[in-house]
Amino acid sequence: MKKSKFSLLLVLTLALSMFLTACFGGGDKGASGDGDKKGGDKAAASKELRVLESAEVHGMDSVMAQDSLSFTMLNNVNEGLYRLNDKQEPIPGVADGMPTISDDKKTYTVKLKQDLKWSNGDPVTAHDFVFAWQRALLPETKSPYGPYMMIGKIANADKVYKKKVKPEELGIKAKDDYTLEITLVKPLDYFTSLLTFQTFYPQNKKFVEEKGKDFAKNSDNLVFNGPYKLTDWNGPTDSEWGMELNESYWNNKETTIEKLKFNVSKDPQASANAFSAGEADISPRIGDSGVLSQYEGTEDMLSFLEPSLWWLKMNQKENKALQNENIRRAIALTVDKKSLVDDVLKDGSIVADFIVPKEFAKDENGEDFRTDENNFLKTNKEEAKKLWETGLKEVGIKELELVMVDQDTETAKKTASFIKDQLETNLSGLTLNVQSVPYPVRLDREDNQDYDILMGGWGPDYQDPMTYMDLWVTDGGQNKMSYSNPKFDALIKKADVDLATKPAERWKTLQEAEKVLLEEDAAVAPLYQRTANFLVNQKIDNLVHHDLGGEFSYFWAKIEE
Amino acid sequence: MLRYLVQRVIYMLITLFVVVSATFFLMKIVPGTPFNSEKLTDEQVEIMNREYGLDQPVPVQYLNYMAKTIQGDLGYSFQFNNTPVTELLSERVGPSAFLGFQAMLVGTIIGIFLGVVAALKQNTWVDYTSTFVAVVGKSIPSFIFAGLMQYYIAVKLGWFPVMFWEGYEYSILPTIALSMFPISIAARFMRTEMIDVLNSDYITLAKAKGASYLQISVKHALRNALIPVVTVLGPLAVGLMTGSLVVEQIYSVPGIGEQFVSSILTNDYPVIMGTTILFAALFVFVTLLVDILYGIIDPRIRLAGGK
Repeated sequence: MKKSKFSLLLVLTLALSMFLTACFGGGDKGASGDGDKKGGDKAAASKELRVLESAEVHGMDSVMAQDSLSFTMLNNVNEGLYRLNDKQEPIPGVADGMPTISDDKKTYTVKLKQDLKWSNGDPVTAHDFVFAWQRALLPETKSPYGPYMMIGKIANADKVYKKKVKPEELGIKAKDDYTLEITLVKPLDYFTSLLTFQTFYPQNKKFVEEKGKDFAKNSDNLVFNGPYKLTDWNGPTDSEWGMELNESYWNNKETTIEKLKFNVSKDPQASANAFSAGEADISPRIGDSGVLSQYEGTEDMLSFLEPSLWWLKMNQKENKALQNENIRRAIALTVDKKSLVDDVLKDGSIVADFIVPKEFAKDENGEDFRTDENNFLKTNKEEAKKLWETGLKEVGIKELELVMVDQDTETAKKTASFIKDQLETNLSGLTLNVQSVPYPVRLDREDNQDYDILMGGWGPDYQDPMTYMDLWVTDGGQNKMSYSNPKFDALIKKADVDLATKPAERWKTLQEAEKVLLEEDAAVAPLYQRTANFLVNQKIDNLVHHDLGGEFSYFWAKIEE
Repeated sequence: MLRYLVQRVIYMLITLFVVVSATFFLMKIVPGTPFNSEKLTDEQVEIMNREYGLDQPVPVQYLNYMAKTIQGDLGYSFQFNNTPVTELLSERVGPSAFLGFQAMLVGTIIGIFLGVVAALKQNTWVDYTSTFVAVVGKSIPSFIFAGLMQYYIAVKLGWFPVMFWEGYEYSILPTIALSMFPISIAARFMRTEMIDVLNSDYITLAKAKGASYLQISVKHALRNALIPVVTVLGPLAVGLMTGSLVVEQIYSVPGIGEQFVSSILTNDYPVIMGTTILFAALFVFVTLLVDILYGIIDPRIRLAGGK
């Protein structure tokens, strides 16, 4: 009797373990099935790259995408009118040559290449662009980027969004199957480069409507018009997927990387281990200084300065002290930014004495918007102390307690404790309460202006200084710190409207506005411009990286033999 | 027995109901919304709130949620572009459950063995070694083992894959890392209980009757010593099978542990609720299983209160 009970238990255990063995969902689609431990070397020889990503691909519907990994995937499997090259300049994709721009710079006529095909054989036409743009804009689509990218730029976008006019009234029209006419609200010098953004990609109308809810659910429910096809992607929760050459792409003669395999690896040290063991050719972005120090100075590290700027926002809504310019300036001048980037971040980031990043926006002659002269709010602790005393007197207080909100990432927490130490040591009577919170909470508190100081940052949405400058206009959507200066607003408006066709003067005006924001008002305290670091197999050459939208273009990469 | 089971199942349902309700309201207190994009317009957020019923008062949302849950509809994930929660859970729970189960099996067997040997060879080097292993296993977190093994065994020696989830060999290192804790728990409890039992009167009686050493230790001592161990290991098994955030991250296992944490951090309400229901159900189920196991191990324990 007793024995039979035990054998019953044994049978149950075996049955359960057999059921659980079926759990290796990923097993069958394996690592190209050769079980080779040295994946990296092997991959390089067979023209296959193994790439690690620190997150899942959240969505492959180009209209809905909002995370940088989805943009990167879209950049490699689909194509818009233009795409960015290695110099961050737009080059023709689906478009046949650069656009013809009208004299008032508000109408763009784009000819499309004929006989381009989707991977299911359908032709890529002007109607695919019209369809995608309208879809992205309509509120019921709930695209995070559609309205954001179009309203105020594309003609009638605001009216279509508010449903005051039909979607067909949107400023994008198919003159014939292969000619698009795009009408803008005002001249935008950066518009061609904006067209490289994934939200503006075409979508195969017939396919999208046929699939309905299933569209972009997994790689079987997608069509591609880019260099690669997405393979084995089971949807947004998948931790493993691939890419292979898209035979119907128009320009894949030069492409040498035939296959890519992607895996999610969220732990930076583990990713570095996989890289060192040759199981990966490209690591995810690594920000952990402990991991970076192991590879510092080796050929394995690929670093580049990103147009990503981090700062302290100072909320002037209710706080009397922060409404005082001297106090704000004292805070901005106190933080030793040099020490922050060299001793705390240690990832190659650079000191930011500005709002518009370096090596980001260039004028017609290739001159950087950021010149060496226009630096503001440089660290100056002595000056800060004096300003602090004056400021406290003006407000009529002796002590000040502030709440600083930052995100709960390792880097943010390290930075926040450094800033707390810097400020409390230099500015007597100041107490800084740091609250590290998850991302949604940070957004919430920023929205409700429930903070005194907020550590945040911004990445560009288009290649123009304005993407950083219009954040600070009175009641601007991203201001959220009650900063308001009519002089600043007037300069931004002047640059945006009056000088839209005069690039040189426009830039001068924007530079002036930056000076008002930082030098005159000390409204925000810039900290650093971030450097991105990756581990990349030394055999890989020409891995092209982008500042906007998708992060990499894999199809231009070459493998050295 | 049947009456007992029915009674237990009713209790289980009540427990589940309480856990689910409590989680629902706690979750709503957490600040922030699931729509975490700076670029969304107010109109869009409004539309989404309406569509997902988030514009309604919390008690109404609660009733709606419960009604749907009873019908088996757990809703859609916010962070993963509307993937059904059931699909997400069924994809992710497999690897975690497999690893947890395997680690539990390995951990229990090795742990019980170490504990028994230590008790039988009390105060010898065997005992000290076993105690040392138990202390190390309990005091060093599993992710330290995971990290060290990944570097030395996988990267340096190349015996096992560094990470990913593509076949059985990929599960070995994470299993070892996860099994260290159950090993130490089982070994410590087993040793204490065994020593206790070995000193009791009926063992002396068995010895006096001339029962063999093996018979005494296995048949009489081991079985009686197992009961407290089973009590501790049940909940521990659930803990392991519901996934470990860090070990899964290090070995890049597509499990549920990491998923659960990220759903909380992004206010992905349907996923938080779905995972809670799953974990709670598993927990009450294992508790029942443990109680049934008592009866098998010790006939003196009558489930339905004797007779």
